[in-house]
Amino acid sequence: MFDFKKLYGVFVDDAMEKIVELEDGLLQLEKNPHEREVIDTIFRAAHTIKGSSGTLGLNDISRFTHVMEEVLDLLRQETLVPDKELINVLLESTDMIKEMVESVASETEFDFSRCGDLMRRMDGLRNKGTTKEFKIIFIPAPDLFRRGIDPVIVLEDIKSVGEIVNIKADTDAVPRLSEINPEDLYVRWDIILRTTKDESDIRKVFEFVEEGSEIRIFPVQAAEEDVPFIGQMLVEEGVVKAEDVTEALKSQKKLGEILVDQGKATSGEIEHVLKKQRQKKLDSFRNSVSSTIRIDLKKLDHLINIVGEMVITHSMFHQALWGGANGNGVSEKLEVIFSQLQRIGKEIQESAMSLRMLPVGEVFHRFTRLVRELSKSKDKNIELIISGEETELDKGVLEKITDPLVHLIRNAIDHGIEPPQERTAAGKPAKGTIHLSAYQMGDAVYIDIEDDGRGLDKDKILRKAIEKGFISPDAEPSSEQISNLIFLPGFSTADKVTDISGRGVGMDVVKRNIEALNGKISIRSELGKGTVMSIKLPLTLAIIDGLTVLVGDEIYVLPISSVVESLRPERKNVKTLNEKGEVINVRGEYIPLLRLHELLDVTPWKRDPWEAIVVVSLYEGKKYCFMVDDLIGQQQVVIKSLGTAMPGVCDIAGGTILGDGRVALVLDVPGLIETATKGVTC
Amino acid sequence: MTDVSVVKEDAELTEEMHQYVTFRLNDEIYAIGALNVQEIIELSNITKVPHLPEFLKGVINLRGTIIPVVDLKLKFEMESEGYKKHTCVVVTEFSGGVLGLIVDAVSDVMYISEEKISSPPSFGSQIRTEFIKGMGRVGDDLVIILDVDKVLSEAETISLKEARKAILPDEGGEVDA
Repeated sequence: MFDFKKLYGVFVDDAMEKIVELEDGLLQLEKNPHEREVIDTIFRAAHTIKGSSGTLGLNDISRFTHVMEEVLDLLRQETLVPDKELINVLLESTDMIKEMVESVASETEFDFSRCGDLMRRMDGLRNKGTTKEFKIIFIPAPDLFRRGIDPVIVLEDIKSVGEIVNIKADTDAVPRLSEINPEDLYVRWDIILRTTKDESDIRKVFEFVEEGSEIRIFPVQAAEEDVPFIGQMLVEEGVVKAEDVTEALKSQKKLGEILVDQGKATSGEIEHVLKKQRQKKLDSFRNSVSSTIRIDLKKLDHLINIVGEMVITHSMFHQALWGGANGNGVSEKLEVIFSQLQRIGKEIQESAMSLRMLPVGEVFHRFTRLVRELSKSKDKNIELIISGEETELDKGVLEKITDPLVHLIRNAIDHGIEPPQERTAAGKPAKGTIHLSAYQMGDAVYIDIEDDGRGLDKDKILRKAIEKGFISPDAEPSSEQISNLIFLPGFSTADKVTDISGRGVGMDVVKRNIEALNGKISIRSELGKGTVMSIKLPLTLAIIDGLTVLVGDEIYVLPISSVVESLRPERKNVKTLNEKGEVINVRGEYIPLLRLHELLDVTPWKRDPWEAIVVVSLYEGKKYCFMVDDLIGQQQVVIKSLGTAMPGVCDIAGGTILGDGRVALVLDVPGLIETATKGVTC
Repeated sequence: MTDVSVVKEDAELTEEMHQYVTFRLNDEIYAIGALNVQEIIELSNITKVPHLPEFLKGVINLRGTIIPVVDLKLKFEMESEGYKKHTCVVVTEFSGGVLGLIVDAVSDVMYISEEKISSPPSFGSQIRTEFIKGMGRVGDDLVIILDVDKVLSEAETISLKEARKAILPDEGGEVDA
């Protein structure tokens, strides 16, 4: 038998993508319940999962999705309306499918009995959808009694088909007493029946009384509610048929058509505006469904690697041609061709790197769900507004930024946005807003999380910080410095610890994670107005701006982001302090000196700082001087790992390949400083 | 090489025949399974990485990928006279990743039949027996077959330990890696 397991990987990838589509679609549907296209997309996604899981013999998933698909089908037929309850159940079901798919990925057993409850709930929804209400108008033949039929028995019989919601005897037709024929039946009945059966089943009940009687059965549905009162009356009175009313309604003109008729607008203009309106509704949804192909990340990385290799070989070629004494013999023509080749090579490298870039929208849309669930559990009314979904980030950066973002959004929900009563009291709209936006500026991508909540209480932060001994009581920190206190480990101003946040772990982790990506986080906050957390990220993890320095025979790269300045100190400015060791006086500021050759264990050319160069770095608000033999220059470098077989060294961030093919190590400034100052390693 | 023919028709190969890459360390011949060998390259510039034991020489550029290199002679604590013309790097792939082995010279690629391989002797070689998978007889010569995974994973654990020792001479390794 064919081993399906080989195909599981493909299935899992595909299913995960469909699950995201499902979730996005459901959330979209909640906002625009009648968006046909969204319902279709959701249905297709569920259908695909059901189909592919069935083919691979993953019967649990296919059984479960089958039930879900049936609910979605009713949604498609507009028998069901996407109300909050339905969306909730469907979202939970999506989570369940995700768990099942994950268990396929990790090859673990999934306990199918866990699905039972959800399947029952979905079934419940389905039945709710299929019970329809019928209005039955029963005008019995006047000679019914004479035929020996008791209409009451017929009415009793109706109960076997469904539940009678309402029954009304219409006695209008009963003549005056003097004119009554006691053997005739003058009464007619209006019945509202709730049933899962259809019209023909109901009609069967009236089989024996049909002759001479008039029985009208028509469904009472949401769609039918649109029939105006007059129309309904006309139908009930038997003046016109239900179809006639619907027909008449259809011929009613739309606003646009009336305007055209009156000559106030041309049909072209109306059509144009309508098109625009439709487009606007669908745009945000379409954006997330881009036309893509899936490529194994390994293949992509391999491509990027060989392209990088090409660029390096290129510069080696350049050196071989122009470097050295025989550089004069190169013809001008060759030079032109060479520079052309160089330009193409650079372009290939850039587009290869762009293949790793993903739009942030994929991650952002997950937060819609998070905000929805969390604000529900916190009894807060919060809307998440997303913008700049199309901004692209390196896949690696994107993956690592998700957790910090989750944390910041949780914080905004838990601490930032106030409960509705408090908001109304403060003269704000009861509904809070979190604005998540991404944009690119220069060679960095910014992600802002802005809430219109209560803002940071700087006095409270300062009090707590002094209380906990983070800063001395007589310190007078700037407003920005106070805000930054919340990034200290163990700092929390929350009076009570909640399940979401308040334990004081987190903000420091957020900061560290962002810094690990060579990013920065900053806070702007105004008490009572809200808080903006702004994250600045490099476009890609792989390329950084580096300062190349020489220590002994080795070339090292310092990330420019951690370099403040570089200088050659004067002899008189180099001092040794008892408690601090060597320091350098830089314009009145005493900065500790760290000799890079000692930290990295190499033999330097220069041992005196006044002959060498010092590079000033900033780490956790403090400055440090690194002593190097010489500066070589500033260049963009591609950071590569030192190989999986290499044990991790905490002061080395990675390596890069220089123009001559040699490997230069990229230094990790925080790691270097930690090692140097605390004597510990990571 | 001699009577165990180096080249045989594919059809004659039995399942017990495995292909090996042999190389020299001083005067001894060592072998590793050819399936573990990715390629053999000239020794290029090695970039030193701080805090590592001596045998982990550093990293090299393998056509755009950075890989660590181990000096096998230093690793096995053998005498070393520095690198010469024939010194080269055997790029091996093992469960932990890709790693270059610096050897004196690569001699051959050969088939050694399973029955000509005996278990490692308890003495006689300059290196510790836990890295040896077996001894192969090739004509009159003895080939020491290395267990790549053991050599390399051992390299890693030792280096980590020594790296810690280098940084923290007084502590017994109470550091989270």
